[in-house]
Amino acid sequence: MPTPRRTKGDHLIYADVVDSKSKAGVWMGERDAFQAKQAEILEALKDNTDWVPVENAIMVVSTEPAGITIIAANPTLPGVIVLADGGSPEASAQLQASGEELVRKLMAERGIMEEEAA
Amino acid sequence: MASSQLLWGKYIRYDRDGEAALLDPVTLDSVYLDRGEVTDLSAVPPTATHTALAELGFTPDGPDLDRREALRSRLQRLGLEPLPVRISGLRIVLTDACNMKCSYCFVETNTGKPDMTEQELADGLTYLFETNAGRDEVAIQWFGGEPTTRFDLMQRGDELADALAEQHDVQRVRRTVVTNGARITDAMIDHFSRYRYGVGISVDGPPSVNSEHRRLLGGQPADDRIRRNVGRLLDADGIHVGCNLTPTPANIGRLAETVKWIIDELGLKFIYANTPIPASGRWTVDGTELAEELYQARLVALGRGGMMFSVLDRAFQALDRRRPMLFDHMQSDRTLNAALLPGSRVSLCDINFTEPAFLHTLEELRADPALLGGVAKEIAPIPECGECPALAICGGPSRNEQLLIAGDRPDPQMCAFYQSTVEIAVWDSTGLQ
Repeated sequence: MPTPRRTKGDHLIYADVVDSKSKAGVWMGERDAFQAKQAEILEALKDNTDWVPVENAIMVVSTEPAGITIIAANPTLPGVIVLADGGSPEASAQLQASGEELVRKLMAERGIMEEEAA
Repeated sequence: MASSQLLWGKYIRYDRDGEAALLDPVTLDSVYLDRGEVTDLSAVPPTATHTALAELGFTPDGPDLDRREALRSRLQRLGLEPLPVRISGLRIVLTDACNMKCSYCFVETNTGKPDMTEQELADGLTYLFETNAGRDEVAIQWFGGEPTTRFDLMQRGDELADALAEQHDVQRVRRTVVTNGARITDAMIDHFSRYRYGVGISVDGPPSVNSEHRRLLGGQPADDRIRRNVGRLLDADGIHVGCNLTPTPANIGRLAETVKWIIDELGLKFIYANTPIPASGRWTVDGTELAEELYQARLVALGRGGMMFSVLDRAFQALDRRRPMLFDHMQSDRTLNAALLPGSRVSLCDINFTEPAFLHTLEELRADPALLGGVAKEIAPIPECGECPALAICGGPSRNEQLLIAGDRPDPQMCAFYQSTVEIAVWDSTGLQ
């Protein structure tokens, strides 16, 4: 099925104001506010889901193709979780593959064997 | 390899590595097709892909409407009007005196013309607060020349603004200053901290880049001084410090590296990249190259925990929200940030202080608020706009752009820039910023 672009309406700055109000860095103040909201949202999520904390998680920002990859140590099992989002299906698949490949490459360089599934 | 073409006479089709994206340049709906669907689309209809696209509103039939007219109708339906309703913020141009001489500055500096007087400042602020009585917020931005050369007026103005806010029941005053950062005193830092200023430091990159176009009046670079002052500002409580980055021939081609330096070395995590102003009558940068550079730099900033904004964000937000984003200089609530100039004049355009069509006295604006329409944009002024993928994102040149280039026809580099921003945004729907 063709995939419509997802809808997003929570941009930090409305683009039609970028030529003036935001110029002086005042929006860094907004960051404090939205980070507080993010913490509140996550606390609420914890109350509404079963969860485990994920430590050592990073978000890789890629330019080619554009997208993000969340890479984290699996908190309960051996291995590393790789979750990629490149916007389009093809770009997401590319990022997912390159993220997994990188994890495997770095494991091999360190002599860490991939765990066999039971 | 990416390319684009027109599908069914109305959708922009972008192809890349076997997949495709379709964009309706009027509604701003877009959709991705994987390799199989791309193949399916080229088969004799109706295929499963044709059917699925029709369900999403992408059909080969439909009224053969002029796209410029279609956009205007859509703007009307969405209540998006080009006419500003009031002035909600003032860029206060205290002086044209500046301790630096930057080759690209759109302000004619150190002319010897008188600075703003205290009375002119008071009159301008009174107008601003009167006009916004009972509102949540007004914005004041100190500007020059180098505004800190008249720090005394900034102090006086901030005190007055507090009194006027109380008098006119305005809840909040957002204060910012645009400065080159070369002369920041302890007293200024205390003041900025007290009033919770946003301080925008104009820097174009590492010394080798910055000193190309930004030097002190005597010709020597000011980079060490600026760097020390940025550190002092960052150490102070309550000041939000950011960087105003101007793309120039010196940093185009190195924007990603420049942004990396600004974040890692200068310590500024908020970067705003200025939009080119064709002050010389034309764009002096390659539009396609600039769009791609801004995009790469944006991702570099995000990857280092920073934020970078530019007019490129227009395309992302327009596509993400399916909403035209084509008004320049006007805020999202249809209010204006105008420029208050010495001599009790207001320019309706906050990046052009000399164009007579934008200049009015406070009395004229009070007597006839419809004058604000003088900065209103004419949507898609030339027929070619109707064929442009960026129709609802660029919308044609602003009034200021038209005056600077002396015509309705946009600078080709501006067109290339906006068309590139659309293509970039079509392929990135990760919604990172």
